Amino acid sequence: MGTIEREVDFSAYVRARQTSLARFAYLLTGDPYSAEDLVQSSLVKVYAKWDHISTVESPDAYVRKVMVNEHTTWWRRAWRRRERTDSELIRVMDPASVQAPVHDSELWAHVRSLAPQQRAAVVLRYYEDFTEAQTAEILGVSVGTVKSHTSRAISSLRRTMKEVTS
Amino acid sequence: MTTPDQENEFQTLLKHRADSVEVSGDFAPLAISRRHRDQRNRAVLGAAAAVAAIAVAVPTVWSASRGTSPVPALTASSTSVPTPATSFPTTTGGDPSATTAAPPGASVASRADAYALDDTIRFGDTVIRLEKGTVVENFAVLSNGGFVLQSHLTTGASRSEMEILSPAGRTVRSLGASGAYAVSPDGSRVLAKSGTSDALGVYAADGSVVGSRRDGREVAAVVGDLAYLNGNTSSSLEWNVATGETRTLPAHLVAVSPDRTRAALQWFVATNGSEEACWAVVDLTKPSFPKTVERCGAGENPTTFMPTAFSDKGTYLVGSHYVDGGFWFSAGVVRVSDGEIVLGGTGDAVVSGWTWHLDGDESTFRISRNTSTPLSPATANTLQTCTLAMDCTDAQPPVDLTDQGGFTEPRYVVPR
Repeated sequence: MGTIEREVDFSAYVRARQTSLARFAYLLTGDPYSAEDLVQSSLVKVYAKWDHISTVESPDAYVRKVMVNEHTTWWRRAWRRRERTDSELIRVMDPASVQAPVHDSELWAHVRSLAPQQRAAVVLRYYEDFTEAQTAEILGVSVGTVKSHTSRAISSLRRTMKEVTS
Repeated sequence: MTTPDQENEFQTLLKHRADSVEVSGDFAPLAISRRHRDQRNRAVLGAAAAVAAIAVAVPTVWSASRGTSPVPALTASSTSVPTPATSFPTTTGGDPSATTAAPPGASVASRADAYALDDTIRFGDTVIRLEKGTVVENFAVLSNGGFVLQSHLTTGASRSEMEILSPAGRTVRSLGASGAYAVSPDGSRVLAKSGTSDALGVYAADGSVVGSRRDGREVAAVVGDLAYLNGNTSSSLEWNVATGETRTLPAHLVAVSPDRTRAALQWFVATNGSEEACWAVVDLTKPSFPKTVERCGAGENPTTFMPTAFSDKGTYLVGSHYVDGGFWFSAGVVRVSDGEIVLGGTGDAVVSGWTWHLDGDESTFRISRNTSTPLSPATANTLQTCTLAMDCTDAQPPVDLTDQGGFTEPRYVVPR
C-alpha cells in the first residue's frame, strides 16, 4: 500500500469510527482529556501498522485492543506521561441535558473507581457487547478472568446501590 | 452471581454516559501528522545568553531570598534574551560533540539544582527558556550538563516529544514522540524508544548514537554500555551496546542497580477479578536470577508500590505508591535488602506530588510536591527538599495550580 493510499484508507476508517472510539476511550478513562489522549496515541500506533490492520477480519477489535493496552500501560507507568491536548476533539455534553438514569452519578463514580482492566472488561462486555471470549481475547486474559472481572464489578455495583438507596 | 437486571442497569449507565460524548474534529490527520512529524526545532535560549541577560534582572534577588520570594515573572526573562535560532544553529549532520559542550564560563546544570518551572529549565542563576507554551512532563540532567526532555505544547495539536538538549538548551537529538527513556546513573548514556516504532537507540550525552536495534520490548534501564529492555509478556533482555551481545533476563524488568548486580521486576497479576501489583528484586549475578525479595498482591504490597529505579548506592528502590483518582502520585522508597517501606504509604503517609528523585546521599529527596489542603483537587505546587523522615523545606515558593477539567498539570518539575 502506498503512502497516499494508506492515508486515504486510514482516514476513511477513522472518520467512520472516531465517535465510537472516543466513546469507548471515555468509558475507559473517565474524562474527555484522557480519552482524547488515548484515542490519539492509539491511532498513531494503529496507523503505524495500518497495512496489516486494514487486512484483518476485525480491525475494530484490533483497535480496541490497542486502546486497552495503551490505557493499561499508562496506568502502569509510575512516571505518568501526560499528553494534554487542547484541540477539544472530544466534548462531553452536560449530563443534565440528557435523560439520566436514576443514581447515574453514583454509578458512574463507581465505574471510574474500578481497576483499569476490570473497567475495560465491563466496558467491552456491557457497552461494546463483545462476548466473553472476544473480551478475553482483547484483554489477553482467560474467559474465567473476564467472568471474574465482570462479576466482581457488578457485585460491587450492587453494594454501591444499596449504600446509595439506604 | 449477577442478574440480568443488574447487567441491564450497567449497560444503561454505560450507554448513557457514552451517548454524551461527541467528536467535533478529525482524529485522522492528527494521527498521521504525529506519525510523520519531522524533527521539530525547539526554540530554546542558551544558557550563556540567558546568564548574561538575566543575571542583572533576576537571579541576584532570587538567590538572596530563595524560599520566600515570589516566583520571578517569566516575561522578565523572555524579553531580555535573543531568539535561539540565531544563537544556536542545529547540529543535524554535524559533529554534536563539537557544539554541545557548555559555553565557557557558563554554569552547568546538575540533578541537585536543576528544576523546571512552566516553560523554563532553571539551575543556579541560569534560566533556559523553552518554546512558549511548552509543558515539561519530565526531564533528566546528563553528565555534560545537557538534558533529556519529554514535553508537549499547550497550543495546537500537542504531542509528547522526547529530545536531548545541549547544556545550552539546544535540541541536539530528537528521540521521537510518545516514547520512554532511561538515563544511566552517571548520566552518560540515554536509552530511548519512540512510542511509534520498535526502534531503540542508545545515545551519548552529546546526542550521538552509540547503538541501535529493533525490539518490541520496552525501555527499562541503561548502566554503562549495558541497556536493559523490559519484556512484559516475554523475557527481558540485557543488550551490550558495545559488543552487540545479549543475555536473556526475567520478564517485567524495570530497573537495574548501579553495580548491575540486582534488578527490580514489576508486574501485575489478574486474579480474583482485579489486578494486583507485584514487585521483586532478583540477583543478576546468579544464573537462575533468584528473587531476593518479593512483594505480591494486596496482602504483601498493600500500597501498590511500583519501583522505577534503584537509588545511587543501590540501597533503596524508588518509585511510587499507586493513588487512584488523580494525576499525581505518592512517592515511595523501599529498602532493597528486606522490602521494608522507608517512605510513603497510605493515609497520612502519602507523599503527594508529581516528579521527584532521591538525592545521592540517599537520605534526602527533592520533589515537586502537591501542597494543597486537602490534597485533591490539587491547587498548590511547591518544590521541596525533604528528608526520608519527612522533614521538609521549601526550595522554591508555592505556585498556584488551576484545575483543567479535573486534570491538573504541575508547574514545577524535578529531574529524574
